Amino acid sequence: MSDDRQDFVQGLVAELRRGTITIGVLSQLTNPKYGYALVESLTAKGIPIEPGTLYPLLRRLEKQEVLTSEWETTGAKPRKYYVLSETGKQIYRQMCKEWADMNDNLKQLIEEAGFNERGGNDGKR
Amino acid sequence: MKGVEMMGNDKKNAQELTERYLYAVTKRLPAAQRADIEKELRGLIEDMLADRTADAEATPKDVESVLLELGKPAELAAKYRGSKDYLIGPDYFALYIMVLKIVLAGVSGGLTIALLVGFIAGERANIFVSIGNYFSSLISALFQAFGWVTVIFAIMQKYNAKIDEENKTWNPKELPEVPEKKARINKSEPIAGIVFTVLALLLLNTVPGIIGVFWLGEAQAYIPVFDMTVFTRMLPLINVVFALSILKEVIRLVIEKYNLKLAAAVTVINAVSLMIVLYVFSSPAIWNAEFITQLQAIKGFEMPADFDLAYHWSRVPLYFSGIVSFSYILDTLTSIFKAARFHIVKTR
Repeated sequence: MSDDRQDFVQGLVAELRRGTITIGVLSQLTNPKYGYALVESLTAKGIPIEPGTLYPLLRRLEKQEVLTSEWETTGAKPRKYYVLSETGKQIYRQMCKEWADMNDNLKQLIEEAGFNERGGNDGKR
Repeated sequence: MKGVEMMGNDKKNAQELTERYLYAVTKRLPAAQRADIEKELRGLIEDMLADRTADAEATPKDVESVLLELGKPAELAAKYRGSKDYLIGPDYFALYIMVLKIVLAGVSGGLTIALLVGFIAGERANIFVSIGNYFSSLISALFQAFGWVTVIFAIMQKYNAKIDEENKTWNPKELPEVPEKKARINKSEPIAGIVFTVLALLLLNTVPGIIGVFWLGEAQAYIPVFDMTVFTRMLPLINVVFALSILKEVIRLVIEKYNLKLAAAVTVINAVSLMIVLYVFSSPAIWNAEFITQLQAIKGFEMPADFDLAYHWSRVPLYFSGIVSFSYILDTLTSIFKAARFHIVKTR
């Protein structure tokens, strides 16, 4: 595969990932967490996210009143903890349902097209 | 001893690097959010460093790699702001480029002709000096034109960007109708109009004396049509007329079709222009009073017997006023007539 095509595919994957980041973040915030702990837990679970993307996203979600935040200053370092608000919880549930539907529909499309998971044609055509 | 000092320096350098990064990010953020974001980012950088160094003292190299991971300060700040800042955004860009092309072409063409005429008409300095002058004035004029067009569009962008946010909903019903084919204004007409107006404007402002009679008989002579002192005094008013004319063509370019709005704008602009032109040119003061005398003084010039030149020269203000009034009225009536016609076609 040429470099150009590799870049193109990576661009598409990054685009897919971008859309799922918010759900991933919301899923981790039923309990309060601070930004870097989130980076680590998401990365450990196979959803890598750059701090430079996550931190501004947290602020935006807070501004939209999906999250609430609080400074925790009793520890060694002051840290800002974020947690889902009531509206945030509802939004998260809604997003989960949307994601499940989308996932089902896409799966169906892919199965109908007759391509297996490795991306090759399994002969059904 | 030396080793301890170096470690102290390293720590200082590492801290300074962090501070510089934080400053570079936060100075690009709204003042109200600066302190909070700075505190949070500082914590983040410390956490990332602790991860890399396993709680040992961070070296400037460690800090560098952390900052590289966080990305360019301007980009990080842009993510925090969340909005896109444009000097001239995609909505205006196409129009901006078009206007820029017209204006720059008009300025180069006009200046070239003006200086060429100036050179031929007598200011025959050293040709190299003339060429040098030409390029220096051309470059400064082009930069000026570019700057002004950009400033105007930047203001439009700023002003309109705010309007856009106020009414974000978009209704397909509000799309402008596809104009009747004949009602469409061909872009080349207003563009040609602008180019010629800019040309005339430059000519009259750089070499005002060029409007005159060149006598190329055995004796060569040149007689200006206007009284130069009065003409220079009136030049600002004449420039207003040119500016109005350019405005009119720009409106034609933007509206793109004959309609009542355009007709109204054309009527107002033409009325104002005509009043100024009549004020300036209908009195004899601006016309060269010595024109006939100077003409008769040319060797080889003979007054035609059956044509009373002096009489007609005295009536030139009247003729000129008549012609100008006629063309303005014709232009106005055409606009109104076409608007009315296509308006009727549309409502039928």
